[in-house]
Amino acid sequence: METKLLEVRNLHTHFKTEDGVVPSVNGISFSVAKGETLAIVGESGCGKSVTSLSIMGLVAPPGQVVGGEILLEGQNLLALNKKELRKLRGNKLSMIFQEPMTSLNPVFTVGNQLGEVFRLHQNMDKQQARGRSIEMLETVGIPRADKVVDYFPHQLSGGMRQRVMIAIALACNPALLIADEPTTALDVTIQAQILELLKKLNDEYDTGVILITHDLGVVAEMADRVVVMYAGEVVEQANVFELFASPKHPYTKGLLGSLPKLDEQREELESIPGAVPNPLEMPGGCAFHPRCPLATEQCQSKKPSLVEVAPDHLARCLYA
Amino acid sequence: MNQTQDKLLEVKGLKKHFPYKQGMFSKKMGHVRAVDGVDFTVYRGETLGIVGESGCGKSTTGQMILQLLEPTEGEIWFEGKHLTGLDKGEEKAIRRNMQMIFQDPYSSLNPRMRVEDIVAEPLRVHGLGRGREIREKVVELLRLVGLDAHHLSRHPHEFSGGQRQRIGIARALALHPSLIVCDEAVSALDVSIQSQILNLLKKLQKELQLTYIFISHGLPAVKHISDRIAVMYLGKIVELAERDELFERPMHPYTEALLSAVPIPDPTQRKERIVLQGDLPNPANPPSGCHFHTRCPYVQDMCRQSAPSLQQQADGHFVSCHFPLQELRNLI
Amino acid sequence: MSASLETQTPQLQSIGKPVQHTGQFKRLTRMLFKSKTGTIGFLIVIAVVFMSIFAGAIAPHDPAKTQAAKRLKPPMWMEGGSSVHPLGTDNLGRDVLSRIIYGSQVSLMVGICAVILAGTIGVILGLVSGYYGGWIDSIIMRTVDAFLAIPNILFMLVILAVLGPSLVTLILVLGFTNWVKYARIIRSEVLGVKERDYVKAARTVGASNQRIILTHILPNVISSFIVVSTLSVATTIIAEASLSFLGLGIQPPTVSWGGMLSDGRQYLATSWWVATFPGIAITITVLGIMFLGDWLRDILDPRMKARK
Repeated sequence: METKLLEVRNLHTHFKTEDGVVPSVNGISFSVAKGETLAIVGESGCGKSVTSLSIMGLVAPPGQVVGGEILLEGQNLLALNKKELRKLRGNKLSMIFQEPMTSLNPVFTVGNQLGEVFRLHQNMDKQQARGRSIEMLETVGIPRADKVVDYFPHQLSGGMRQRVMIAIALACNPALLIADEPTTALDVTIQAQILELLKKLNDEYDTGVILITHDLGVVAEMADRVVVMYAGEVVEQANVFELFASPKHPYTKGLLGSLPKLDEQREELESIPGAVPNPLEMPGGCAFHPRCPLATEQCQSKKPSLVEVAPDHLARCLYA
Repeated sequence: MNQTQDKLLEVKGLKKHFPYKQGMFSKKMGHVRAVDGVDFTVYRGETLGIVGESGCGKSTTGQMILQLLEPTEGEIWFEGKHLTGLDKGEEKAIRRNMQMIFQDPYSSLNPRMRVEDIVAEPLRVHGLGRGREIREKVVELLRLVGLDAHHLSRHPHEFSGGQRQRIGIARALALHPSLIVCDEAVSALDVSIQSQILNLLKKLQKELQLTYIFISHGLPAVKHISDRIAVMYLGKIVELAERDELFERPMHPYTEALLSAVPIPDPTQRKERIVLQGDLPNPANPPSGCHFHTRCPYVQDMCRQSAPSLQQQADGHFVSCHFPLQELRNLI
Repeated sequence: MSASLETQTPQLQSIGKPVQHTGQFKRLTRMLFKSKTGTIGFLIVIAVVFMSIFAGAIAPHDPAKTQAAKRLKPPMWMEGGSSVHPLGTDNLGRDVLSRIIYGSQVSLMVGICAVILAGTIGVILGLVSGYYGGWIDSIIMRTVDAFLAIPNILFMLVILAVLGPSLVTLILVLGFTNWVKYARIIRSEVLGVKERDYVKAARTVGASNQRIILTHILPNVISSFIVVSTLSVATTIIAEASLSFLGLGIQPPTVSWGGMLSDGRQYLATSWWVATFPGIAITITVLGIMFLGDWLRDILDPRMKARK
């Protein structure tokens, strides 16, 4: 395997609430290689966004990382203090968020916000930073970049704002980019533009990418490897072709089966019954067993572990 | 679609222009043409899908049909009745036959009300039964959408998104409507829940002979549920055809690009997509001629000058383009 | 259908949702005692309410009884004081402690009644203004602007001068000058709530405007009213005290804290206790109500709660 850029080992992130402790991320491990795109998929509440915030060191109280290791190029991020972490963020480690509307500050121009990154991390002066900002905007495909640099966020469309966010995230040529639902808020034709852009940049800069999404279409389009999460745990992990061709975990199978597809017509969609369990009342044994069509008595009592069911293909199921 | 051609709803030249104001003295500066001349017919028992990107006017169209917004211009005929200028009694009667399912299962249910009161509200408003009778009807409605009687006294926050959407559906069914407008009804739901709701909607349509207008930006869901599909762009219908016809032979370049832009959940089918350049134009100031010409890969001079109208190109296949695709391909 | 399996209740999303009125009395008290300031505020308010209800039983003396021989006696812990008058006596020999206990009746009465009056006017006008919009909204909001443009104190002085000071006029005056802020708050809340889908849903089933306002809008805007009105009780108590201090409020022989302040002012240099103790009573009561109001705001505002 190639050199590992990021390695997450047995990460636990918990949220303390009035009703008890919610283990949003409950012992997950995965790694990202240089230049690789790893997709993390799952439904709302599965812990995929908390995972990304944990890596960024942005988990806010009442949440807290309570165990595990996050190694970026061998350096444990959890052992760093706030100042050291801030130095990494925006530099080696970047993130783009779902909402391009709220992730830019409305009272500063695009150039101010983009230029700040260069001034902060690369000690450029104002003029240099402006020049680099315009270059960066051109890189992410913004027309008339020399004009747009003086625009305020409200003068830009959603797609353009997301491009600006990408420009900010890539400004310092980060080793790892976390994209949390980067296209969910965008229209289909704009999503296509942004996905093309991310692919192009991934090829050019050899950046490792963690793509967090609920959209299996986007996963199939973008990812090299896929991690499927359910109820705070990894339930399956494989190469993207392998995962779509022969999913092993019943949850993954269910997700794939429940998608309406453009190239075929079915009377009824397969569906996974029920809903994601309440994290305060996790079912015993396999967390998926109340919704699983294959569940047996054993699944109710015995918790399956993540095992290699085929070369480089992990699944957490007693019957995989 | 070989059903009896019984028209349930007919929309003619429907327009909605929102004035927008600017400046200190709120001068009217112009109009946002949210819907700018839309015609279509919905037949009894079918599902008409309306698909398009944000700002194309699909939701505004739905709200005008339901009388939540007053049209600026145009006519809406429902069950043979013209829907403008109705008196209060007639309007209330029409309301019984048209209902809506909303996008956001969190904001579509009043957080302070119990499930029983939410589902019973339409019955109470129309004075249909009292006390036990209403409760029995509510239980029956909940059963129909897959919920139990023990949910009656709970509040919306005690339910998951999918269950809330079921409650919203039960409320919409309470008055036995003939038409239900589903406005992004599954867009906010998780994948596995989305398929549950789509299946439920199909099952209910069969059992209760419902007619749906299914408004969504999600092409796969629209395709799954619709018999015919209208594609909207900047306040106009650019293409309308039967489902399979539309997906196999899209004639409008916008439809073609839209279909191509949807990511296919199969990594072996990664493809060169048609990526439209640029953003949606501002609907307050739409481009001259064909509204799509600023982004159209096949644009000709003619497109910049004159606006095409919706013409029937094949049986039941309407397109608003000077050069519907096949023809154009021959040219190039 | 598989849905019957869906019996689980909320997931993470439920955290940060507002507390619902599902009779969660226990939950509320638990949350109250978790917050220190909330608990203190609650205890103070309970004490003041108790004091005003049972004033006759608690007060050691008749608050109006004058004793020329016992003028300006200091509190019990000072030289010349006695435990008969723990907080001393005023210039007419009346017991300060008893007067404070009786004074709480006026303060609470004026505070609560004026807020109820102001709240009723403000909530109704705010609902109408926000829901119907258009010219009704314009008229109500311009009236609000007009009220804001006149200095409150001037307005109150004029009316009190015309009508003559009494408990009822005081309540009316404080009520009619304070409805404005409720109208504004409720209107802005209504503007948000009326765009929610459940209001649209009610319209699509044919519900009348009255029904929509009463069942769908009012219950969802009332929590901000509760918070603001608690805090208003506190400010109204201060306003009452100020007016009484100016001699335009409660007239003797009725006891009020503001009146006591006014009486004691002349003797501040020699007999500080006459004015100081009613001042302390006002401060403690107002603080207690503020604490309680802050706590209410915290539990009624979902965003505040999520941060806890």
